[in-house]
Amino acid sequence: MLNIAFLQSKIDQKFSGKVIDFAKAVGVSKQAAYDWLNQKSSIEDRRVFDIAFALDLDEAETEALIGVPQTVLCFRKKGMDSANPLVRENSVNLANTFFKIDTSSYILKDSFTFGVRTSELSTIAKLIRQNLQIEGNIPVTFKLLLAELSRHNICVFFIPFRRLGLGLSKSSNREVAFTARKSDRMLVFVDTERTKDEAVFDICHEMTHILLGHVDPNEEEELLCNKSAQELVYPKRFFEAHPKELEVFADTSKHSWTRVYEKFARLSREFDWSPKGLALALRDYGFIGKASHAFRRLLTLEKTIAKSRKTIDELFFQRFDPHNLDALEAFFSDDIQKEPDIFRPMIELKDAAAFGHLSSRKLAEILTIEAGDADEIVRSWRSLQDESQDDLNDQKTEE
Amino acid sequence: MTKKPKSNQTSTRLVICDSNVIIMMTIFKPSVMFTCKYTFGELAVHKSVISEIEKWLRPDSRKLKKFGKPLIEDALRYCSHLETDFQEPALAERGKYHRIMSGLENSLSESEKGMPTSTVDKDLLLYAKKHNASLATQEQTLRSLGKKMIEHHRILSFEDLVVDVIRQNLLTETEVRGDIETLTRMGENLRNDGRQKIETALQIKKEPRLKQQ
Repeated sequence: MLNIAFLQSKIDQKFSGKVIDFAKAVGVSKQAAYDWLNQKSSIEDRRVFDIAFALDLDEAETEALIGVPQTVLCFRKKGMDSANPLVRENSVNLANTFFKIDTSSYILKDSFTFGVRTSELSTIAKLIRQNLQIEGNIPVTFKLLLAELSRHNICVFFIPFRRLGLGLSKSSNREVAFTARKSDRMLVFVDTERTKDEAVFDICHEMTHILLGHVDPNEEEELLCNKSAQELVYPKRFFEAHPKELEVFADTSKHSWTRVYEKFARLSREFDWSPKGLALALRDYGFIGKASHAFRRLLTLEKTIAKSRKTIDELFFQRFDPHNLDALEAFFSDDIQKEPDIFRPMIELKDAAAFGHLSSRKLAEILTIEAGDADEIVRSWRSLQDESQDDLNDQKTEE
Repeated sequence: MTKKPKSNQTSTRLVICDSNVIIMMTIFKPSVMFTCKYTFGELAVHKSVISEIEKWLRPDSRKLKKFGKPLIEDALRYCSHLETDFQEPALAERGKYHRIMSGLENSLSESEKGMPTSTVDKDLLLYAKKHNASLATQEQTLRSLGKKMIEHHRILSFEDLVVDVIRQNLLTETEVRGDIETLTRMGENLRNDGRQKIETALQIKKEPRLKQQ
């Protein structure tokens, strides 16, 4: 069903309201056009394209004509400046791919509060904790966050941004996460080149954008989201309630470097913390000084353990290599079965292609491989699907 | 040599073939499939499809592994005669077509779900739309989106072309069945509804020899 009011407004705009000119441009009679506008007759599917073309509509306007809400993106970029246009275009394209694959998925549950107007940090953190049903002041962790978001139907999609054209340069000023919203449908995309502690911070940052209904956030809003993420991952009141945990890091005269190292190692097994994140939180909350020895010691620790901290890419996406089809096939046949929370977008792409809801060429475009290779990979998925369906039917017959 | 569609586009009936249709025709009965006069129009291939097939010759290509070099080279030889100059639209116009198509991908029904397509997919639909042509493809997503843009009867499949050949008495039932078997052996299965269409066409035409002497 087309949005007739939108159609009429566009005819007014483009043809100064002259229905006869509009009808001529579409290639129908004046009467047929009047019948559409007066809803006396329905518009054939193939005419929608002609109408959109005659009215010079873009993708968003075409969606408005057919009654589909627009996709809104909100980026988290290291360096704060706005996202590169090409990255933005590719990101919209990727988000829309998932929104199109299943038009009824990713609908935010009613219990999830969003679009709140406040800049009060404690209120923001409290509302996000309420949304996620994370009690008290415990630090938000990767595992907990993914589980709670999944309960609210918010999917976090881990995507190799750079390999899929969503991150341009090797510069540190690049997009690391973004939220895509289409009406009440929501998806959070996180770059796999992030470590777990960075990812949990990114997701909490994005949760704040969602809660506050940001559309094109300014620097101030970005900073607020960072503060909110800090409050969720390194809650001030958690430190206040556990002074002994804090003392090792704050009092450099009493505790050796080894003790700090061991203590952090223990805490990081429980929480997804980084020494730098901890240092910044302790400094911002006033537990340690700006240029204190304690602060510098944590930053040194950050450098010391940097090499041993693995990114999501290194942990899970080793075989996601568009230049090595055997590895890529192994990734899609074995790896993605192991961690459904991490590989959800890949599982969705595979299923969509196997069930014919995503063209092989589109899959090729997304995975940056050749169309012919994608076609053969999809065929192998389809035949596996058919085999398992046959097995299921045989089983039913036996029963 | 590149063919040019005749100046009066509406009277030039073309069937734009996708790569999967080209390879099926090459396996099936190329001497007939690439040369006969189809009731739908003249066969046409866009350079993007040819370049796609050329990439199948890459040493690590999955298609090369499946079909082997001679068959792919045959396919390229057959479609080189069909390469058509579609008079590419200006970049702005192409972009406009693509953006509208991207919007339309959302308008597919719940049973079809959304069906995202690539730029080549969109180009093939664009040429079919612009040149008032038919599009022969096995790709479900293209078929669904195509029906949103052009008349349903202009969205064809390999099986539609085979049915046309059967109706024109250019192949016997034995030949058709034998070649379908070859296709299956090569991992190129017919679409279920297409197989049914071929069966029906074969039922109408009786054995043993269909070809008019």
